[in-house]
Order: sequence, then structure tokens, then C-alpha cells
Amino acid sequence: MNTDKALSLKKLLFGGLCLLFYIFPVAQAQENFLGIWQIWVESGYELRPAYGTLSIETNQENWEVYVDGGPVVVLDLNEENIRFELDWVDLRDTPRISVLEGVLDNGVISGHATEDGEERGEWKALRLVEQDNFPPNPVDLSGIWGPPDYIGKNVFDLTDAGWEAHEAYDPTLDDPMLRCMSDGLIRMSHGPFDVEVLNAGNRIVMLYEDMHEIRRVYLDRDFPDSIGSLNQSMGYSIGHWEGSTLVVETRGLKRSVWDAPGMPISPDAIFTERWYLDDSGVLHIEFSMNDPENYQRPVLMHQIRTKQPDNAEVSPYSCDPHPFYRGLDIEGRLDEYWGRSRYRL
Amino acid sequence: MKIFYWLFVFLGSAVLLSKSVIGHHAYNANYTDERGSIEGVVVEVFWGNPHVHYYLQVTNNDGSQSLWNLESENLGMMTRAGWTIDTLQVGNRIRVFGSLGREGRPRLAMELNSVEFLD
Repeated sequence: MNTDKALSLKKLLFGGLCLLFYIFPVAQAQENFLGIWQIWVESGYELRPAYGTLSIETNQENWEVYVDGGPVVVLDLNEENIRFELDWVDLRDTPRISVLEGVLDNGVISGHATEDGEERGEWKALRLVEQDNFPPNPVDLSGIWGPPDYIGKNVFDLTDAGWEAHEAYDPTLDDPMLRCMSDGLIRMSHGPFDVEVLNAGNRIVMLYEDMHEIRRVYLDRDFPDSIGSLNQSMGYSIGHWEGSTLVVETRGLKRSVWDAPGMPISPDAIFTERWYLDDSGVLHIEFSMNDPENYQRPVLMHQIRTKQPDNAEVSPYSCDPHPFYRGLDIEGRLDEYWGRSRYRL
Repeated sequence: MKIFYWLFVFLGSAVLLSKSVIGHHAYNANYTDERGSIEGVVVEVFWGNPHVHYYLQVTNNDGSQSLWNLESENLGMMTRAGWTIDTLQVGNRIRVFGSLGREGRPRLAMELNSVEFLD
């Protein structure tokens, strides 16, 4: 080795070490953000506290951050700080964007959310811990539970098929609810309505205020062989207890949408829920919808419901499609509606 | 009977300030961020789910007549707000505010607390 080459090698080694010492602490600190967190925001979709799932990943080049299974725009992520845009919809399906800015300290991310520069309250995130599979320890979930609170994430990574289904959907004509048809299990799971839970031995019965739908969660059986062709708005649900958490899996859903703007559901979707009570008696329902036909990754939601007084009653819900057809008649759109029969859900 | 309507347009947060909450349905697909007010005579009442509707006969500035579709809330929310089937009746002449329909469609997401009886 001649002197010039030796000098170059030393320079290279020195430069490499400098780069390593520069990158390593930053990368290590940023890696502290990596993982899955339970996020809590002071102001959810109806300005009430709500929970969700924050997932921070890296693909070697970029940070990828997801809330409830949908991507968010990362504005900044350095040693101790994170700032990202959280897109969500309010109860009227109006898209909104909050900026969440937080500091990582002692294993907790916490900070403030703003919207158009206005304060939207605090938020924080705690790292999710993998839970052991405890032996069954059923608890009493019976009662009437009020409308849910959740974050209301708006944007999800759709597949090509998912985009095609979403684009073809006209929410003013194709929505099954307009015709008083059931809006389906996933949509009514987070609609602004009560749900009444009854224990019935080998099954738990759930009575939804929305459309007065009835759902049975069977605790003593597997899915029927015909599940692939069941094609029902409420699907078929089986459940079991993991400790004091009721775990419910639903299959056999019909092709539909799970929100008013038209996020699609395929008949192969698997809907999993975890129902549990916290120390203050609030009901938590964490759900995951795994539908690879339509979504790049599972759609998640964490909702909370408060128990209603013992004398509460679920309101009757009789639905009449008259105003839908009346409205189309007034607007001269009846022919347009009849012409879309192949899109009808 | 001289009936007219006019529009008040607010941008941005107007919808969020509104008291009307027709959630769970395709609100954003049916209504704009523009708020407006109309005056007219109630000619039909639909008191039921999924949402309560009132149909209003409106006389436009050029003297022509239009039928407007006023959308309200579900029965549970209407009842909790203190409304009954008799609150607004056929023949009532009213002025009401709300979010206007998209593409100029004659519909309004009515704000319950904005209804004013004109007779």
C-alpha cells in the first residue's frame, strides 16, 4: 500500500467514524419512537376524549406513522419531538386536520393538538404492552351503553380494488341507509346510537338502537361451514373470554360500506373486537377490520362508551324510506337513482 | 303572500358552528359549507326516521314557486331537543337557517333553534 492510498483509507475511516457518531445518537433516539402506542386525545370527533392506536415505523428511508391503521403526514420527527397531521372527520363527515405536537419523555409522548392554529387540547401516547393470554374470567357487560367516542380517522391506504369501489360509490344514491336497509355491523358499531347488551347463557345478545338490529355473539361454537356465502349485514359472530376481555370475531359480512362517504367492506373481511371495562366502569371496544381486498393494512378503532342509568331505555327506531324518494323526486333525480341499480348495496 | 329567500354565506367553520348534527349519514355529500335561510309555508311533515323532514313551499324572487326539502335529525334527537310531531305543522309560515344543498339542490339541513314563526 502506498502512502497516498493509506492516507485515503485513514480519511475514509475517519469520515465514516464521524458519520457514525453523528448518525448513531440521532437514530437511536428516534428509534425510541418506534413501535405501537395507545394514543389519547382530549378532543375527539365530538370534542370529547378519545383513544386510538399510534404506530410508528420506518422503511429505512422514511418514517411512517399511522393512526388507527391509516397513514398520517409526518411534519417532524427528531430525538425527542414528533409533529404530525392527524386527519379525521367530525360527526357530519366533514374532513378536519389537527396538528399533534409532542415530546417523548420517560417513555410517554405528550403534547398539544391544534387546528388552524387554535388549541384543541392535550394528547398523549403510552407504549402498548403485549398482553398475556389470561384464562377466561367473564365479567358482566350487560346494560345500555351510550353512543361511542373515538378519534374518527379519515384517510386509509386503499388497494386498487378499494379505490375502485370507493370511487364508484355515490353517497347520495347508493347508501343502504337511505332506503332504510341495515347499515351493517361495522358502521353501526361506531354510529351515534346506544347498544344494549344482554347475557343469554351460551351467547351474548346485542341490541342496536341503530335500525333496531339484533346481534348474537355465540360463545360455544365455531363458524358454520357456509360462512363464506353468508353475506349478511351483521355477519356471524363468535366470541370467547381472554381474562376479563370479551374477544369477538365476525365473518360473513355482505359487501357494503362502513361509513357514509363509502369506505368499502368485502365479504372476506374479518372483524375482530375486544370488549373490556376499565377501572371506572367505562366500556372500551377496540376493533380491527382486516380486509386485504380493500385496505393495505387493517383498519383499527378504539371506542369508549358510558353505561346508561338502569332506568334508561333504547329508543324505538322505525325507518321509513319516504323522505329519500321524496327528495329525489323534488330534485329530479329519480331516473338517475333507478339507473344505478348495479351499484346498490 | 310575499315569500322570499336569501342566502348568507359564511366560509370555513360555519358548518361547525351550526347546531344541526345530521351525522352518520352522507351529510358532506349532500350539503355545502354555505349557510342560508329560507322563508315559506310548511306543506308536508315527515315525522320519522331516519330523519325528520319538512317540505316548504317557497316563492322565489321572480314569483315562481319551489318546493324545498328541510332535513332535520332522527326522532330520538328531535325528542331530546323537545320537539314533537306538532311543533311544526302544515300551514305554518316559517323562516329557517341551515346548510344549503350541493349543486343548488333545493334542500336545507335545518338548524332546530333557528326556526322563526312568521304568522
